[in-house]
Amino acid sequence: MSALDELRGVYRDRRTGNAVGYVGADVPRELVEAAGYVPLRLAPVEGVDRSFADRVLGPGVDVATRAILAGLLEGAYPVDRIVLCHDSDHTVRLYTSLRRLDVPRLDLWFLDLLHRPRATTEAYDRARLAELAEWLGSGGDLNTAIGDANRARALGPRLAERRRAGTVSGADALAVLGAGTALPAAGYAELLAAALGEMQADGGSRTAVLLLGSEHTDDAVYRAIDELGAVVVSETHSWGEPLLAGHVDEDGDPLDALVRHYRPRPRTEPAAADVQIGWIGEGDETVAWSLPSHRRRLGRPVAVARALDDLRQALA
Amino acid sequence: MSAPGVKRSASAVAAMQHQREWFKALDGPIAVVDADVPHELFRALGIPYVVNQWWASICSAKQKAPLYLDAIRARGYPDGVDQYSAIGLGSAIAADDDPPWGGLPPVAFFATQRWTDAHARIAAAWAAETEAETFVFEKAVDRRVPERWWERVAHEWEDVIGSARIDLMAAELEELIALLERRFGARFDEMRLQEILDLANEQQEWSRRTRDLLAQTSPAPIDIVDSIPAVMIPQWHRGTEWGRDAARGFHEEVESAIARGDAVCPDERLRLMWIGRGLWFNLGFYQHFQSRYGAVFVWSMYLAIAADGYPRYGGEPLRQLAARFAAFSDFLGMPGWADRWYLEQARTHRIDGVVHLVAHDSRSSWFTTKALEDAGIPVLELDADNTDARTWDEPAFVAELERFIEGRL
Repeated sequence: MSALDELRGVYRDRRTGNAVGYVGADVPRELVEAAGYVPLRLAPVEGVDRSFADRVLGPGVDVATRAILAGLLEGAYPVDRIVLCHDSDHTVRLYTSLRRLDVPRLDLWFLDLLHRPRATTEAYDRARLAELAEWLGSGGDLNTAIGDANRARALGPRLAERRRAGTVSGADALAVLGAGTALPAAGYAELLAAALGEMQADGGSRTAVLLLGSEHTDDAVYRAIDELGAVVVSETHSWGEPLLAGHVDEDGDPLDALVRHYRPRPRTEPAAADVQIGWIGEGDETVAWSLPSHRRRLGRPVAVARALDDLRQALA
Repeated sequence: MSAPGVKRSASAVAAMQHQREWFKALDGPIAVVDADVPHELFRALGIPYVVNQWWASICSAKQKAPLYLDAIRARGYPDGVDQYSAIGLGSAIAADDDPPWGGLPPVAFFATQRWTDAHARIAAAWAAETEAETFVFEKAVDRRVPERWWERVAHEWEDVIGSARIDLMAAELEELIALLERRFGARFDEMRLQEILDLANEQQEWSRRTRDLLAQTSPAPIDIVDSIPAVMIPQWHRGTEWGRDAARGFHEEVESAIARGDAVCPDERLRLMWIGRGLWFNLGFYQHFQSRYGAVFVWSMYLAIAADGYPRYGGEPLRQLAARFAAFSDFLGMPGWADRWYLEQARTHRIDGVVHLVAHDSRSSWFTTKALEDAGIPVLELDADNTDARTWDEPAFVAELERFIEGRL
């Protein structure tokens, strides 16, 4: 099996033992690994009945988060310890609802990592990370965990280059990135390095897409864009290239370094592509407030899409 | 069809008159601040401010919300989410030669708290689309859910809110002071802030007495069409002698009305609770069901949260102020905090039925409805925005409430 196939499989299957689950972009995987667990980012599970979760969370929460709530209530994930964070209102609402529902088999922790670019926020975040570390029992070598994660991150620019050169489909790029949220960092870095070597240009030239807006916990939109003859080469959502963005300082206090890495927003500011698409997922209309600032920064129009049918027009 | 509602209370009428006079005298540059931002700080610095959501209610009452939301959409922003917080921005950028009350004076500053993802983005929009400088408070989340917070928060705020959250907001207040001093040429005086906090506490204590009187009185001497402006307009002048005196005057008016045996509906048969933001473009809706059903809306969150959510005693002024706001949105919308409080309110006010205007940004709607229904108090949920008349279907909602009253109460 090729490394690319293996990563595709991990992305689809997302089952791993000895895991602590997490929801949101701000949970430092390094802390979880330092505690001896595999950090497993939760994504919607197919086939789960979402009707109760829809009523609890309501239409103002995105569908993926509602699906995760449904999955947690049904016991669809191989975890009973879960960390949620303050990366978005959707995650906060998931946490506060789970807390109130009081599901006995779930051991929840909320990491209130905030994002204003101020020293006051940084100090607050540092204290919250320390509390999480204690809850996890992060007694292992945090510096080693950070180093492993950085080795994966160091491959991010190569993947970005491969994507813009057209040697990987959008769906495969998303899978390769997303697999890293279900594997230990050291093993992921090895597989990713191997997969990068397997990527070959197909000789075709495709319209390059920068994808803005809502999260993508599955590859439906990416596959649709691939099938329309274009390719997503970059994105701002937290299941995409922000996963490999940056580098956590390996000198100095590791918790301080983790705060400096996970606090800033946005984590990436990608360059414009041939076409910019702002995807607004169901229940995530609020993300539309961010699109004008992207237009100003990029100096390009942003086509808005809410359904797969909209993509054809966006790429026309 | 929208109707403004008949106001019978002298306090409500006086408050609205004061508000008009105050607004007319308002001179820019001003700050526009969200309802859950510490206004007291702006008052202590002598900076005139307009509350964003109050202004949205005026725009809505004057049927200008659709125009202002159109203006937002024309600039590429969404017009169908967080309307309550966005209408103010729309009023600042819309071409309107007949704005409500003459329109806002020049806005130099916008402040908000990051209660939802939209709030920080709305602040960014103010910065991009106007000349306003902005400040966004964090909205921290505590892992604990305190028992019966409303009985403890006035004096035990350090524990109920949590020191970490108070520390954070107190530090942010110091940052904001530095910004405002520079921007407005103001000077912060801690003793002035303490005076304002003390006056605000006095004001809220009068509101608490009024709330308690109304809870135990049937038939109700006033309905929420009166109590909302009577309590909320002074709330926007929190920390002034006028605000304190207005709250005291309202209490005295209610006390006298009770002594006289006044009743909104002498044949009161149903006591209704309105959970959610006020229906600013259609206050008449609240009075629509009185004559046919003897159904009176006796409770809205505004008087009750004044009573339970605002008073804070002790500690250093900035920490006391931070303690007032670091968890404010939890009281009204956080599962575990809000649903228990609403249930307590329903019980003490002997509520027969609840109309719950469900906001998409509310974290606690399902839990609130469930808590009430589980306690045997029927709930009708309405899905509409409180400021955006485009989402309101009057005949349909009237019919729904009539079916609710006839079928479940």
